[in-house]
Amino acid sequence: MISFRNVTISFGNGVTALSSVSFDIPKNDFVFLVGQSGAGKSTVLNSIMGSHRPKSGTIEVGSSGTKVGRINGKKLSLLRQEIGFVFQDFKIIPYKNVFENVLVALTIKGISPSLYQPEVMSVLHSVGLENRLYEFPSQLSAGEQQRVAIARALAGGRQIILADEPTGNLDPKTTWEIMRIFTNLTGQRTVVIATHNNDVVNSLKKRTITLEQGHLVSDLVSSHTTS
Amino acid sequence: MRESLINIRRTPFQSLSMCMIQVFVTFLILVVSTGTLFILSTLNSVESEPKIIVYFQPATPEAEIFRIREFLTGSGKTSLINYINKQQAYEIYKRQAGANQLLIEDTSPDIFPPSLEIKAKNATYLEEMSTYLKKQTGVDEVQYQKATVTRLLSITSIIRNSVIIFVGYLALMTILILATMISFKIAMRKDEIEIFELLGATSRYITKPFFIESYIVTTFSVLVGCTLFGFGLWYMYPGLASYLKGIATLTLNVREFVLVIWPLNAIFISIVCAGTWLLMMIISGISTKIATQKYLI
Repeated sequence: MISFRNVTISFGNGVTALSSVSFDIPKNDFVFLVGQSGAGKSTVLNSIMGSHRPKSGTIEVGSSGTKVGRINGKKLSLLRQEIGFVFQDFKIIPYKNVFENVLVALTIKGISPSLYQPEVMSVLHSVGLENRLYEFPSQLSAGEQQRVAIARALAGGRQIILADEPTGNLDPKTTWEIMRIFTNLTGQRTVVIATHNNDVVNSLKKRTITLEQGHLVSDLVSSHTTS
Repeated sequence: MRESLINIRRTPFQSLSMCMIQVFVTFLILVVSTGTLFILSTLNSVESEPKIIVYFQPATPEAEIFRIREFLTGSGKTSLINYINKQQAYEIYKRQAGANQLLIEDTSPDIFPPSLEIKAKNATYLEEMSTYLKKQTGVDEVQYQKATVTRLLSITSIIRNSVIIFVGYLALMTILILATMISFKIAMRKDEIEIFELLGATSRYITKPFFIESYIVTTFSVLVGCTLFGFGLWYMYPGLASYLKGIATLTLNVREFVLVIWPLNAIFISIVCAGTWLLMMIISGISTKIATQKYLI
């Protein structure tokens, strides 16, 4: 589902964000990306989205193994329609209510309007917001706003869920509520979460890829090294 | 559509500015285009007045004159050809001489030349007809006011070119102003657009609401502009009617179609308004394309 082969990504200012990074994430796997700030976690997620192009190496994403480094325009949009993204700052649209925020993900995919209502209700039910349909982001708590973002990421059958510090702005109790939603996706979607919350990573015992200054230093499944 | 209406409401000052500039430009274009069509149709009417008078030698057989008349009629370039034979020419002379018997004495119809009075559909045909007539046997003299015709054609050309330059300038100015305002709207929705892009929206998905929004604002503005123009015409109609009292109708020939400009009528006003709406929609589309190309894609 996601494959990095000797990927090196550099920015215009000469900084190398990733250096010869290789890993595979199979379909429906659950992976944590950990490391200090500046280790390259966000760069990995952004390059999966096609926002950063590798200087060398290949990145393949999605069911059809799209080579991310070579696509743009419509193909890039189609790739992104397979991916749901959750941000630390939620990135939900303030003037749209909960229902409309989730609906955006469906209209972008061109899903039939007859499926809007059941699909939106289904994903909102999975995050526990089925009774807050017509409330606006300003009326929701931070945790609830993040749930809307997760519901939007799940809407339309997006198979890859990427989350960049999804609990960075949340208190410990809400953090665990959000993580529970993610862990419920185990075995159903491919989930990649970038975080530096060691408590969460250690407690959930999922595959963990550790990055340090752009280098992959370990790739552990529970307690044993796979690569 | 609903999304675009919400966006118009969310950026009221930009939308209002876009609307006001377009109402103003629509009104100006309507005034200038209607005024120009009036002037052109008046010139057209004056242009068709100058005529060629061709005098034949008195001995020219009528059959030859009729052959020339038939040829000119068949060319489709004349609106009227009047044949004046020797007797009619003599009668005209007598009328003009009035009571002065000295001028009439010793004259007879035989000494007067037969002639053709030819009115052209368009002044540009006169030169060509004159050249043709001069080559015909029996033609003694061909008269037409070349200088007047040339001046009228020159005035028409100057008016047309001035209007094209003026409307072109207005269009360019409007495109730049609208593009700047749409850019403001895009800038205000930068975060939202970024979310759309990350969710996999195509550039068409992102730009389409801006186009719909522009077209809605433009259509509304043109409606307001046309209404104001309509009120203006209604208010000015009595004055205009007394100013143009001597002119029964003013028309413009567009290929086979004759457009009646005066008296003012619904068809003429509808055509002018529809043409202005089309022009404003093109301007609006170009502005949106420029803004979205520059800031989104």
